[in-house]
Amino acid sequence: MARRRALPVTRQEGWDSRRAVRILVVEDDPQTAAYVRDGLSAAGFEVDTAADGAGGLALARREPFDVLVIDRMLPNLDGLSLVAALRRDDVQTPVLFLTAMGAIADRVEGLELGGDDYLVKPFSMAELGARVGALARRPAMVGRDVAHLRIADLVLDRLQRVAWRGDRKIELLPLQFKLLEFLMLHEGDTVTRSMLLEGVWGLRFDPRTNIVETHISHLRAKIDNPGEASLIVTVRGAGYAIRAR
Amino acid sequence: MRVSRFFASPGVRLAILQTVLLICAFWVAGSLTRFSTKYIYRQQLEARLQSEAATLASLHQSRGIGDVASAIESAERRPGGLEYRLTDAGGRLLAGDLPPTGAPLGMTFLDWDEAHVPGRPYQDLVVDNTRLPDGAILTVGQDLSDEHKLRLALRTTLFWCGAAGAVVGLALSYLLARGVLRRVDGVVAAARAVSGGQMTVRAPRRKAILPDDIDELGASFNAMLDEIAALVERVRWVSTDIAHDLRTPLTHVRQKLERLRAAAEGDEQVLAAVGDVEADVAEMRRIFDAMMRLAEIESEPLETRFKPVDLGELVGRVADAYRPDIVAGGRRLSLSSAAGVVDGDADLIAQALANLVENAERHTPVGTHIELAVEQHEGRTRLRVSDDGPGIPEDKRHEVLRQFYRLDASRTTPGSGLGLAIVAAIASRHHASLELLDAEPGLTVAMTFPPRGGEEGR
Repeated sequence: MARRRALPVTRQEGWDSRRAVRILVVEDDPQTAAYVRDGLSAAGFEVDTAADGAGGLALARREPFDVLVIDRMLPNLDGLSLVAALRRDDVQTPVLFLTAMGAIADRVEGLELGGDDYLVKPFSMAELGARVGALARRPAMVGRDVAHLRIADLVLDRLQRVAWRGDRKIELLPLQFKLLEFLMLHEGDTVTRSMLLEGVWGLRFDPRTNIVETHISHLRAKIDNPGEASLIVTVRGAGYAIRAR
Repeated sequence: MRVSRFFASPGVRLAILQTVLLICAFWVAGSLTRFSTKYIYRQQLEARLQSEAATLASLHQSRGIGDVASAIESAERRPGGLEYRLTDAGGRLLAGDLPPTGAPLGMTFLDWDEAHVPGRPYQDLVVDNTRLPDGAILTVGQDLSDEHKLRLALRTTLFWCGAAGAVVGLALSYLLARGVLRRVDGVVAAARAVSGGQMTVRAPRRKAILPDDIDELGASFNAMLDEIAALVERVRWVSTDIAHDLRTPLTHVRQKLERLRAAAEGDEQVLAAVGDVEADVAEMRRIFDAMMRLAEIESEPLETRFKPVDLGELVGRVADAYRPDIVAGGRRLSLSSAAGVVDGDADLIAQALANLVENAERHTPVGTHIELAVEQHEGRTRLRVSDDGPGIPEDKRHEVLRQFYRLDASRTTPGSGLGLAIVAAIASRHHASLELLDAEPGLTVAMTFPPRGGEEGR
């Protein structure tokens, strides 16, 4: 049984809170493993690596990790069996599968058999970092299943489905509500365009046009106070984050 | 169309030619038979007349003219007998019913009609005139109506035998030709399916102990297709491999750019340049990703993973996602959605729809109206994306589905040229038909799904 570390509860710290998050990367290709380890370390995660399925399973059973990043194809024990074994031991650590291109079937199986997310290789570090971050915060979000989400003086009323900026009432279109809610649930974290497309529209593909950007700019126009910097910041090359200034 | 194709078939033409030849041969054989029958009959007739005349002549010699006359009288009373006329040297009728013939001595064929002898059905007559020693003229004749009857019977028999032979021959030839035609049709249908993009279709094979030319044709056609499929596969793997191999250095380029960006913190000029290069790299990555995605979609069997997909709901989500961007670009998006559930992979169908919407957005002028629709069309669920833009010329519509094909030959507009190829691959994986139609004006792309749970075996 893995004990899960207590997660930082002070959400406002944003990126800094990641220092305490431990990630296990199970990847047999040394180059990819090094790339992922370096990238995630640079993003502030504490990273351990294992080169095969059996080693990964042993490590995941012994040490408490917050997120497991597991390659789908591994020597000794493949990724799916590894996760199945962990789940049998009641280890509920969130799992992100890395799958090779050319394997549509893998992603479906991966999600059906206990994976929480997947990323198709090759992926951008920003995408992996954002998704790992979101998975790491997920247990903390359980407590956030509340009627009101709050950042600075922006309050999202999830029952009335309206937002307040101080005294100003903001009417939101259904999609704008979902978008703002998704961002606020990931407060302080970077969410990528594809995470937004998945989370808000349930669409899983890489759009070519600026469809997410347009939605964000419409949302900004509604929630931001004129003359002030936006609450929704653009994270260069990665996505967006909502955070108090 | 079907009839003209039937006659266009070499098998049927051959059958008809065979039948015509059969009829000609029968006609020649019939004519010969009739001719020889007539000849033999006449020979026999002449011999009979001559022998009768000789008998009567010898009676005349031994017993005299009176006995000849009475012999004629009694002979004429026998039914089916010959015809006689006996006149003395003065031309006075001594015996016999036969009217005067006016024929010379010897054998003569007379072409009489009925008017000559009322009540007796002479038509043609053959007569043998003999001068007896006392100057009397003995005429022995035979009415030819029997011969006519025989010839008529012969002709009737020959006609019906010929007709029956022709009909049976034609029917047999037709059946044979139809069998051949069907087998050739199998090869033609396979060729058509393959040129329509269904690369896995093959000409039907037949269990034959003695393979004929058509078996040979089908076998070599299939061998050719196998070879083409192998080539296509090789080309695909080569392009996929190139895309795959180039992505690693591209990833390195991007990592180096990330480092460069960190190092150039504060230097806006360098950061802008880095941003430009990053955008180019991202575009290259997208093209390679699209190539690999295409290879992925084309190579994997998906059917076992199909789930019910509510197209109306899916189209709604895609429309929601794209609407602000389309509106910001100065275009309009409308949605007309009927209930429509199909078996499929929702992510892939969404991808196809997104590609179509992006195409409609990218290749049309400002002010264009884009319509997304889910509708029931001829009992099938159809996903339709229409615009009232410039459309695609009819002769180019097939080509745009090809990989890397772009109407704009200079390739200055953005895009990999893979968008529609991916749509086509996704449609094909769903056994859906993909049509590019004239929206008058504009372009309609329609993806028609097979009925649910139907075994659309291909």
